[in-house]
Amino acid sequence: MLSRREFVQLCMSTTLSLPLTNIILPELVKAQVVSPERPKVLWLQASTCTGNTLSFANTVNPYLSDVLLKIIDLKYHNSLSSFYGDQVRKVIEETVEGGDYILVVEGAIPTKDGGIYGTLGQRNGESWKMVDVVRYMASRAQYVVAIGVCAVSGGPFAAHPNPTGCKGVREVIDNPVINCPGCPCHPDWFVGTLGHLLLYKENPKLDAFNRPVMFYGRLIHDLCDRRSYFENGIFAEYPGDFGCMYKIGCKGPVTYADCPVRKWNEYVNWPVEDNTPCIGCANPGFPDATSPFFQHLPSIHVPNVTVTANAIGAVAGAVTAGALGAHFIGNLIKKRPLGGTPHTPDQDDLKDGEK
Amino acid sequence: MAPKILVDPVTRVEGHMSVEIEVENGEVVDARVASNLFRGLEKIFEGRDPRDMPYFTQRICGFCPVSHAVASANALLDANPIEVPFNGRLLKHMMLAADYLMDHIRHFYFLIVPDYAKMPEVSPFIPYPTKDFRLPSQVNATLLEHYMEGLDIQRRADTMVATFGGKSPHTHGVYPGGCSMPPHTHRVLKYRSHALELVDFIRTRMIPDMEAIAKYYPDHFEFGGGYGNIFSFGLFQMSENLQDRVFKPGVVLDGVTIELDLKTLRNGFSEDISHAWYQEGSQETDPVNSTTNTQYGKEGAYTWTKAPRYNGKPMETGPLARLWIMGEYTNGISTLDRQMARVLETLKIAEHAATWATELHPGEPHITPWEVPQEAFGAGFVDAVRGGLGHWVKIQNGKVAKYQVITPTTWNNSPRDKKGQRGPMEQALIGIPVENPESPIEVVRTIHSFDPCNACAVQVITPKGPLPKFRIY
Repeated sequence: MLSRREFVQLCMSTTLSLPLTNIILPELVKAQVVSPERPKVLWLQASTCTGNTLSFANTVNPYLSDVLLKIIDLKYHNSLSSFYGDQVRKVIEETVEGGDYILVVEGAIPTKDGGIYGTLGQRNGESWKMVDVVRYMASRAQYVVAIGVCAVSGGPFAAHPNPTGCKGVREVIDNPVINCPGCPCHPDWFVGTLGHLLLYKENPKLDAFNRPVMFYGRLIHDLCDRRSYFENGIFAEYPGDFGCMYKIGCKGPVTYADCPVRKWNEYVNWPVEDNTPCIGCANPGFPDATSPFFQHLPSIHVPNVTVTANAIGAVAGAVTAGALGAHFIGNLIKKRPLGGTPHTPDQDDLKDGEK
Repeated sequence: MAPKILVDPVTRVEGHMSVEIEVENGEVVDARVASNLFRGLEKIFEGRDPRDMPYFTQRICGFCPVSHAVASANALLDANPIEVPFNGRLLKHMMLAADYLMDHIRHFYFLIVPDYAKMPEVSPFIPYPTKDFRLPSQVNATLLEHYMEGLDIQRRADTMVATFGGKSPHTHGVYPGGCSMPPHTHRVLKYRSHALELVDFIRTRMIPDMEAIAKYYPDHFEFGGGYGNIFSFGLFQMSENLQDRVFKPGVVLDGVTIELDLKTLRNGFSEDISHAWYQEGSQETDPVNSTTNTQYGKEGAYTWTKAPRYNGKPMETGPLARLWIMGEYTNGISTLDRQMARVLETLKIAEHAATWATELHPGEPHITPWEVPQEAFGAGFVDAVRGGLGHWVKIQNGKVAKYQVITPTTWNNSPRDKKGQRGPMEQALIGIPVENPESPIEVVRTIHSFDPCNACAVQVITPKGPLPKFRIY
């Protein structure tokens, strides 16, 4: 079986010329994870646009048909389940009572006015509010994974003035939650996290926001293939212009994700390559902390001044943290200390992975 | 009184919805369709930078983000008109077309097929909701093979969007002045090869699969019609002229087809909240001016969706409306007609996408920078995947003062109005024969034929204060 270190390195691989399917699936079979029974998964859609389900459907490492029919046993998913009506409640209850399942939550949880703004079916003669559904589902879950920035911290539907009191999952349940932000979450970030849970029966290494370090450990600005344009002061003047996107609002210097080396949708493109600024959707503070999207971060050393990325990241990170406001930080502190900005993985992290 | 049957939730739709029906002598005699999720996005849009709106509005829906991006970019363009280069216009069409392909293919295989074909006996397909699976085992097996192929090929369409848009869902490349990615030859070829791959898949898989379903469920062409009043804003505008679209804007009212003039569109619109969970105060007002606050539990109300009306009438919108107005599909309006039109439209759009890729001019401009005006008003109309979509933006002091969206599912899923007229989907359910009232699969199939998107339908909430009259160039 792959060691954790090998697995993490594979996930962090910047070339990805080798489809992970060919590696992960046999490993899961070898590890007797998917036989005789596949691990059970409940997928809850709360206040969402379904974007994370659709992004997950774009997975190529492994393919969707493999994930759905060979790797996991998806008990319920609103977009895929054949059954409907009260049968949904029964399947949810059966699965929860059986225990030993992974809960995946997509979307924010509306909590205002007792949670009336989102309901899923009927239970005990009244509409089953999502805030109660997620608490019930979490009650016996082995792991809880929040997919997409909405489930992580509320996202666009919790943006000011947050009309329905939307919150991230970790704010309404007591379980530890693995956060996979992004708007939407990249399929690799989610499938890689899932693969780690299944193979090693424990969390991948997480940062201060509970994000898997193997995907969210590096700064976009550090990995960016237009970094030399930044260093040399060649800036795009408008979206669609070529150059570094810093001056038209790029949030790459404050966003931890591996988009530049991983790329999106069968690894074909990513926002900066598309001549548009990164909007920082993998930040837990998205979108309020990273908008206006086309307004540049506070000026630091531009142009024609060579600075280290970490200096920019630290300064800009502090600025962003200030901009997050009490709304977001207050919520995080309740659960655990922030412990500064997320860090870049180093040799220690990888050694740690070998345990 | 007929017994009431509640199906809550209806799965395999976008978002969360339910339906309550009354069945008498084996037929549906009354129906109430409810959306069960409210987000208040338009309130969230207020005060933001107008340039952010094509991004923010995409978050309304992950199924049709490009439609929202294009409608929003059109509204901004209307607020501050600039010239859009030929490449920019065509690239936006190509991204929108790819979004249509993604949506239609996913809708057909993920959301529709399990209604008619017996899926493998594993989760999430069991327990089966019905015993009414009529496909012979060989046909069923072929359809399942195609379902599996569909699971893996559907991502190609999203890759086509991302080729020019950076990523998908929630793409980056759509701007008022064009598309941010130039038509580099290698990207154009990649796009076109994926488009041709999908044309082949649609011809050899999707259409035969649809025909198989049609063959074994002929009775599903007999019900699910509804009012028969339909409209489309048209799609793929080819020049400065708003009416010059590949799919023509039009209305079919009481059997008569007329062209819809997008410049005077607003005159016929009204919106009713008598059966929706919003405070009374704005009776059947102009949708752009409506003043609404939520009021959960209001007497007689049962949904978060408002009831838009055209000349006081409930209107259906979607692929069938588009093809009907073009005169390309006039077989009828019913559960399976809607589905058939959607599949046929998929092929037409895939072929357009492949052709457009050969018409770009590499090396020529693809975008004009757009500036935020201090005070302006703009409207953008485009047919989204599920039908007519309108965005309205009012800009004051360079910020969004008011943003209004009316989506296709708001029309289709709308509740009763104060005259007691049912919404189009509710009306379509009347008269459906129900074999097993415990699990009314015929009703669910009919709901699915509309491809409802509840996330889109219920983001509506607007602040107080009137908007100025439309100004469309």
